[in-house]
Amino acid sequence: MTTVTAPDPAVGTAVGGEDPYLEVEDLKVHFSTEDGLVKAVDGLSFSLRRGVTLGIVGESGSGKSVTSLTVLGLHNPGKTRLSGSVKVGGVDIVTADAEKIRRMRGKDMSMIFQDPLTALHPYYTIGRQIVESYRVHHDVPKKQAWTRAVEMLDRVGIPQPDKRAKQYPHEFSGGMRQRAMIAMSLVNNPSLIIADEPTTALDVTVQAQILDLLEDLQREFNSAIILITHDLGVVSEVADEVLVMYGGRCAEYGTAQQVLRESEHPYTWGLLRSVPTLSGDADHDLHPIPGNPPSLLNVPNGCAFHPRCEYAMNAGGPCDTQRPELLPVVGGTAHLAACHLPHDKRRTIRETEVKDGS
Amino acid sequence: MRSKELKRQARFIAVGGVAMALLVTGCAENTGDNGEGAQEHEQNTLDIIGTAEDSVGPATPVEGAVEGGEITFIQNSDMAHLDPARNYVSTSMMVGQGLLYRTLTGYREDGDGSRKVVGDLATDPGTDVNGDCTVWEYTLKDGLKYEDGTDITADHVAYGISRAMATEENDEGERVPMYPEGAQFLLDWLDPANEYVGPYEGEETAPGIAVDGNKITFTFDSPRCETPFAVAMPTTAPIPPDKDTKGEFDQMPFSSGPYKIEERVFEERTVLVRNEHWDANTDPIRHAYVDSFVFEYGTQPEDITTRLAANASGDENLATFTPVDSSQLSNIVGNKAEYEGRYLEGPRKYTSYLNINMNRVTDLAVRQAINHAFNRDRWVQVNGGEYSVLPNTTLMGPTVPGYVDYDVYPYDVEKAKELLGGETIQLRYAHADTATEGRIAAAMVDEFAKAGIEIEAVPIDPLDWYGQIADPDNSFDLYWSSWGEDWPSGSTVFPPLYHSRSIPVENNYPFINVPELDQKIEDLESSSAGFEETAAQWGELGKEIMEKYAPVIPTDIAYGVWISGSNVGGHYLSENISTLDVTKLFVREP
Amino acid sequence: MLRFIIRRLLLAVLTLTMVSIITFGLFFAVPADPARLQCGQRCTAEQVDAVRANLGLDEPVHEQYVDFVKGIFVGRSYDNGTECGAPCLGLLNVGGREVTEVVADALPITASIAVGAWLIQMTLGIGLGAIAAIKRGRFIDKFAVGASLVGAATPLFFFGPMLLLIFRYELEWLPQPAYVSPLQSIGDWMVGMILPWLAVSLIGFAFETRMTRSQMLETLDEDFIRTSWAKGLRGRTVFGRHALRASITPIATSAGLSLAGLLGGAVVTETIFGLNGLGKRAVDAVRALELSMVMATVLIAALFIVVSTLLVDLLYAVIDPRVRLS
Repeated sequence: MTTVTAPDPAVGTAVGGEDPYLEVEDLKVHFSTEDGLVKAVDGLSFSLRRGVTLGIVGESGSGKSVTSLTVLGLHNPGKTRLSGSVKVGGVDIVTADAEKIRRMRGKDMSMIFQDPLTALHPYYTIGRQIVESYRVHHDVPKKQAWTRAVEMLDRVGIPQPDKRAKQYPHEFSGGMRQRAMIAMSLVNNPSLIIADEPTTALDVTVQAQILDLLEDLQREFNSAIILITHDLGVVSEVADEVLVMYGGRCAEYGTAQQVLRESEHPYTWGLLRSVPTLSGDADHDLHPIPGNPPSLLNVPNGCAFHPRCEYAMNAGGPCDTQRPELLPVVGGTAHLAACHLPHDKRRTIRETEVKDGS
Repeated sequence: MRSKELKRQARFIAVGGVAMALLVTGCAENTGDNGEGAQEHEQNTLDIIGTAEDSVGPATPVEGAVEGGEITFIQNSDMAHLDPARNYVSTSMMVGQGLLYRTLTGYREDGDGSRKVVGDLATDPGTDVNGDCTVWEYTLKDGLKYEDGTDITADHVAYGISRAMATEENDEGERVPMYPEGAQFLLDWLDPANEYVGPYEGEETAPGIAVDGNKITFTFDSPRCETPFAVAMPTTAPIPPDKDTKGEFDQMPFSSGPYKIEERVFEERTVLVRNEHWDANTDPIRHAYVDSFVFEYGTQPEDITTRLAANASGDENLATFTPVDSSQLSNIVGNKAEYEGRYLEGPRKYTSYLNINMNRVTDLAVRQAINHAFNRDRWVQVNGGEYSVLPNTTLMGPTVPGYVDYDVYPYDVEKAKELLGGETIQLRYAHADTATEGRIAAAMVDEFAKAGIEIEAVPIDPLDWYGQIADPDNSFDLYWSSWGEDWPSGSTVFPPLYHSRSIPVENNYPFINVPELDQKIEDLESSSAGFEETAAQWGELGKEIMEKYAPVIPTDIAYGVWISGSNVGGHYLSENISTLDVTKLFVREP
Repeated sequence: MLRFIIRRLLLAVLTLTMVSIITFGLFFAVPADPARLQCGQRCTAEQVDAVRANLGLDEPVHEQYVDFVKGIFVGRSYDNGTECGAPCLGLLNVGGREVTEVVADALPITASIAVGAWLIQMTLGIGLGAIAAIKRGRFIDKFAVGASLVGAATPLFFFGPMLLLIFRYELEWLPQPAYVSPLQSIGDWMVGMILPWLAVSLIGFAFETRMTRSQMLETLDEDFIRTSWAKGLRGRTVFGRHALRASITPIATSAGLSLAGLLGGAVVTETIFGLNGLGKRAVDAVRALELSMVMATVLIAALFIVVSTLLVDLLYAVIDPRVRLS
């Protein structure tokens, strides 16, 4: 098995100036199941500074959600084998003790989940859930925590926050619920926010509002954000950097500009082509990627994408036998891609066949 | 005809309509001799009617008996009736007559196997005034008291009997008996036309009864030589009219016996304490060793046995009328030594038969063949062995004076085949739809097949058992029934079982209807020849019925095993009531 | 809310009416004749008729039913002079005792068995089930699954007598199970009830354990549990305040129904331990064809079920803010 080459240290410096708040190095997350070993994440490296938003893109089962849960230390310790390192504010989640990670969780790093209806406890009021989030990390009286909760609800744009705090999740609309979720996640001013498909469950107009809100809050708190999504449209709106995952590995990594405009990986092209555009003809522009994402129990030999890749060089070519390394793209700064296609050919294909996603 | 008795009700109710309580599983060790604890009775002696001397109290002491203490009976259900006019079930009779009320006569059982009808309230078993059994005179003893210390009088005995005959008008305007459940013999003899309406709405005293001071006289219009037995039934218990609470009397009878009711909650608990006014010197039958008797209800038969066998601390003073449950029978009789001093066994007065439906099996030769083909040993075995039933080949059991031992149709397959002339016959065998009865039926199918008799076993809903087999038009050829005599005489066996008037209201389940036989039965019933003479004739009549008609297959007589807690002494099997004799019990260490 | 309760109460009345009519109908559909049973097999037809008239069984079935229902509300007076005040459930054929009285005696016994056993089975069942789910796959989980399997597979008619044999007859640690009013002596009451409690709660415990475990496992997979972990909550807060709280609805349902079921009469237990509770009374009544008693026990059992489902539904509204009663 080949391993991914550690990215050029220069990569992390694409945006921003200080030391990275989050540093993931050669992270492998494997769990044993009855059917065999699942390599959910198999050698992943990236880093992120405060104030920067990283979009992690991929289909379901690509390992993006597992990555985010691992960063929070929410993997099942009994069944999961971890290697590599995940440093959050200098603390290595892989080796730190559970209690230490728990104290960080929700305070230094927090998570916004995809579906706020199921992610909020149905039997407790919104206010109470935020209060609980706050008080587990701050030794303050309930009343003070309540004031803080109402303040946060106000901050995320919920009208009549003092009233709404006393209501239950089911009494909120989808957008309001996600705002409440965000308020709960941000109540402790976390330095790292992981948003897992935060807008998928919402309708389009609300999506934009939530994304705007996230951007505002990021500016205010100077947090690092990981935005996990399968939607390149969302990524293009808010991400500074983009990491494309496939089969538990990084397929392409670079700034949003690089990945979205100068994409170097056929899988990214596929994702771009599957994004609907407002300008184009819906019938012709939508090209879902044929086939299904690979089973993480049995990742294809060579390039994991080769069975679905229309440019794959199979039968004698390296694509079905040799795993492509994640290498800097010729001419790009801190732009990495894992593809056997020669650089020239990739550029040709991109320019002739792949239209810009946006 | 007014009414009949309900002897079988005990077994009938106890098992919810299936009169099969004694049919058991398991297989007891088949021992010829009844070892330790077994009780021998002076069976079939004709000298059963006692004398005035026999009627003098106190009763013969029980060896080793001491006074004091409390005995608790655990039972599955409460006494069916305690009102003497309604009490006709063995355990209720044992409690009622043994502890709560006295009757004109009673059975003196001295603990040595003897049994005699003696005067209880009366000074003797009765005087046949004219020597033709039509007029009977009884004189009450002196010093007889109720529980409140008042005197028991002959008037009260007359009232008790008259009250038992009371009728009331139902919605259709017909007069129906108010207390139909009790023994009716004496009542029918006194008022054969059924005209008396009872003391509530009619004459204070029933026809045929005359009271003169402490004398009471019964006058019958035909000879009633078994009057000493008939007045031993609970109906002659004295009741002061002002204590007659009618329906409530059934729960709280006014005591004339050695105990009175202190507490009674039906189906929960009954507590009896001493009646201080009872005088042992007037009573040749009863003892009162124990200070109090408690009866608790609601324990299943198998659990009663388990609990008594365990004899755990606090349970040493327990006793029960319920025989050892079939599920534990072999275990207990196999370890009799462990139960020394608290174990009792012996034959009971219930005889069983397989009735042959004579409306369907009309050919005598066929009925005889069926009898020859019956494997009695196998029957006993599948019924639980000889600690459950003993093989019997007679119509009148060995507990009845005049018993004659005969086996008219011994088990003989070849003889059966010969009688059938080599033919194969089909018979429908009805049995209650229970596991035990099913198993017995299966064994019978096997056995009868050997003689070329093909049995079709037909299961019947136990609740509907008697409704089905009592129907003369039923579609079955063979079915079980059982009988226990009301008193030790063939007169309480043959008329209800083999006289045509007992179709279908009595127990004539083979539906035998032979005028010649009817006449013989009637002659014996109305004979004025005296008990001893007729007793032997009843015994012979049984043999004759088997020879001439073969209406049933006599199968077995019931056998019982009882145990109690280790602190209870004085175990004795009352031959009269066929269960543990409550009057002889005592607490070893009160 | 009020409307909900009113509607449910009306429904309850309808249910009880239906149950009573069906029971009544079934009773008379059975070929067995209470009068014949009461009278015995040697009764003449006239005698059986007399007994039938005494028992009031000669009237048309619908009139008997009306009399029965009327008795419950306004009482009845009988030909023999018995005045049976409301709520009158009739008289026993044998013994003539008022059924209401019998029920009043039997109910505390059944309630003692039911409530005690229920508390034991709920405490142990929920506790062990929750721990098993939390420690899924560990020893305690395997133990819980095993124990509940054994509990579920052990027939009461075997387990009850075994308890008696061991603790009463062999070791003699306990007296014979018996009902002593707790008002009289709490200690004696508990000592007398221990074996029935153990016997009954074993099966209930097995059921509650399995149900709590599977419910907890389901809940632990819920997004909001992940959220509570992500908030940095301590394990006990996540399991206790979040997971168990969210699992409580089905547990409450089964708790309510099992209590109602137990109150309706623990037939086998009462029979084994010789306790004259409602269940035993019911079985005895069916055997003895005691219509009034059968009706009373069936109605009481049905009443417990109806009331407990209503209470459980009301409880839902308290437990789950999403539930609106209307």
